Amino acid sequence: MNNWLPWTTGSATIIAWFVIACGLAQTAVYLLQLVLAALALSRRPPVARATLLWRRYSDVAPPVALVVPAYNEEMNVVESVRSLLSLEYPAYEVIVVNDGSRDATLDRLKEAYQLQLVTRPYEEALSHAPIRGIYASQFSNRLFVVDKENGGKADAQNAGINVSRAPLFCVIDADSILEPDALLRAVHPFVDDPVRTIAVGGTIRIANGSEVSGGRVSNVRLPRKLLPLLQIVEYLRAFLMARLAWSRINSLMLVSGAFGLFRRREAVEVGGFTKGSMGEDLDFVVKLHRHMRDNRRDYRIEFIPEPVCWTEAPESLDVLGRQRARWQRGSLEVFFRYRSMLFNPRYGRIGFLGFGHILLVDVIGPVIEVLGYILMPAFWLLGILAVDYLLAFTALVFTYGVFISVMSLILEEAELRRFPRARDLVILTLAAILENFGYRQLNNYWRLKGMWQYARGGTGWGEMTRKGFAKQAK
Amino acid sequence: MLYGLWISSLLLATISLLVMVGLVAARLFRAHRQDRREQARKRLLPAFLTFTEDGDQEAFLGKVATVPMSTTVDLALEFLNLMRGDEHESLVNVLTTAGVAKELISRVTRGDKTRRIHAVEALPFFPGSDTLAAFQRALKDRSADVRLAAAIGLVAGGSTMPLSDLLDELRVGDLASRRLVGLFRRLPSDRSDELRTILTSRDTPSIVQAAAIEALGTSGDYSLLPLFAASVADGEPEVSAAAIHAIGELAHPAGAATVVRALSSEDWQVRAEAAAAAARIGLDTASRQLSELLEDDEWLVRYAASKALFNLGTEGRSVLAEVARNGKPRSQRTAALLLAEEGYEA
Repeated sequence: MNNWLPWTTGSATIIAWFVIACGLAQTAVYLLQLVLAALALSRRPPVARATLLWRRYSDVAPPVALVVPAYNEEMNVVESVRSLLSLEYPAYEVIVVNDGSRDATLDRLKEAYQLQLVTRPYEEALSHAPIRGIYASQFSNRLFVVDKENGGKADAQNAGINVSRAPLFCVIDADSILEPDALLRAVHPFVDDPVRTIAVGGTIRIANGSEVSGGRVSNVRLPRKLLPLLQIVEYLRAFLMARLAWSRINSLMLVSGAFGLFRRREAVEVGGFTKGSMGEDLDFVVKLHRHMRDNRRDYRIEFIPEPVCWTEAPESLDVLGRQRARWQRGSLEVFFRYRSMLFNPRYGRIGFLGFGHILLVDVIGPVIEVLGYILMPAFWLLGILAVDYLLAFTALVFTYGVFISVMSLILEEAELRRFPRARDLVILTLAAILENFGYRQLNNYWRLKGMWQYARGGTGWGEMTRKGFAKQAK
Repeated sequence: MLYGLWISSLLLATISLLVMVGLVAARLFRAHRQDRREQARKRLLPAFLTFTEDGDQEAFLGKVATVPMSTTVDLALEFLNLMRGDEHESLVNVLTTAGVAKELISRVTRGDKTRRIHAVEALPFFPGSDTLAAFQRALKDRSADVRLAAAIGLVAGGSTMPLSDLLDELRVGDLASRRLVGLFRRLPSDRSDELRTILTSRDTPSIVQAAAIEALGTSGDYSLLPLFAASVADGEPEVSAAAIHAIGELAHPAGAATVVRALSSEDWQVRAEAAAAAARIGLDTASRQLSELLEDDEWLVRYAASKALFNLGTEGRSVLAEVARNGKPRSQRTAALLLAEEGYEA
């Protein structure tokens, strides 16, 4: 074992130190996020009761168009639209865009809301696949359904933006449910800083296991299945913590396509969502940053944790794997499409922090972590690494993972506290430990798979099988 | 180094464990406290209901004395939001005797932001000099929400503090908020002169001017027309657009000349507002200019112009129908689509 050529040992040492350096940089990023998120929470605007919110904002809240792209959403679409029509907001319209669904999405909507074909003039500001017809509901003058040929999610969103007339639009997935006061809470920055605010994101929560009735999440419960449970902790860590942190320093790179509020004018200026993009939401926000910075305009893209949007998480490994691989492809696609922004002083903290974060966490992160898992035991086998160090490094990696996950639970407890029972919190803390053993590694595997697909030019979204809200908690 | 690695791991594991235990303990404590509050609320709720029926102050105050003040405050705000007229007044009186107003006043400068903002937003139910003094103190608060709520409370509560002084107390960021419109709208009509002064001052930021115009626009006071016309001529685009919108809200023929001029403004927002205002005023004579706007580069202007023509009635609709038949392609399409949207054949 000890007769290996010295250059082998030297190369191995360099690789090992590179892996360790990247690991340390990631560790520093997570710590920074934790501190910034805590700071953001300590300085967040007060959480008001819904009745107070209404009194505070109802006479000054700008009109909002909810743009809901729907593709093969027959399971959830009626329930989702019902929830959207009962939002507590003074002036809004709901524009569902049926993106050439192959299932009965349009028929379900026609039947449930008594839709009729209408003529609605709209601005052809963004290009998209042809619209076959626009329908209005006999039940509600807030609801419009745009039936168009299939062109993908971004294409459907662009059609919705065209048809909308409000100064703000909110994109929301058709498989999601907004809390009744979510829009009123999300509009807060647009009221308080109307000139600079161009986008606001809210919290995405997992509804698996919760009871849904009348288009609302009526009883919040934890899912009984392990996979969605682990995703809840992951969402808290990756989404709540990270977005709070980056928003605090105006470097938020992602407003989720499942729930985001945008100013229409800037959206049109940047050409809307990029068609065919795997990560159309990330791509869109990066475009907004680039546009505003190129034009030297003062702006804010904010994340507020209180407005909550509930979504259905994948319950099978197959579907989850496809989703994560797609997310990874989306990140890579955006990173390489806008690579000129990386460490470019013209883009300030977006170029350094935002893109630096994507580089570290999304581009080289999965490779480094998997390399670490492979190399450490390999070095031990080769006699380069002593068993004491192997064990110590392994322990540190896992305890740090548990630490970050558990700390993100503090944010949930301090801010949202959506899971009412103390028992739920115990289960979540246990899940925070468990996710580091197996789930995290699996995630890395899916991300590597996404990288491979990206390298091979894969563009498919993959089938996303849904159970449907109507069947939740049964 | 090995020792350091293990110590770090142990430290992280210990912190994680402590946090987990701490979170669960805090949650259990909170759940217990919530339970007690719920019990207290259940005890007090019948007293509120009974008081609204029989008005027996003594019985009500007796019950209130048996529960924590926070429970009384919470229920008080719920009931005050629901009640009107004499019942509302009678409830305010008994709650003041019970010490609810005093509690809210003490909360204005005490506790976290959420508590302070709730107190400031609830205090208008209990008008009086002490409440106004509390609002004055809240104007110095660190939170913009608290400061703006206090300013609104002061104006609505009849404070004589000059509006310009009040705006001076607010910080630059507060003045960018659209809640200023709410503040200005609550200003009593006999103080509208102060808003006029703010509007004409060269030092007033344009966003504040626009908010002042928006608030004045719903007053129905025709004497404001010259002031709005001057704002259209001198203001930034956002101020001009707000002023034209306000002229449209007033819908007085005296605003016609300003609106007609604004139809050819360089700013698209002003043109769009002017088209809508022309319809509100019933400006038949502007049909030709409106039909020219059907060729505008901005879709919103084209749409506003087509809608305005439609809303002008028979004459406007016939112009629209004519354009839909024989107009230039862009105008033709705009007119035809609008007529179709309104259910008319081109």
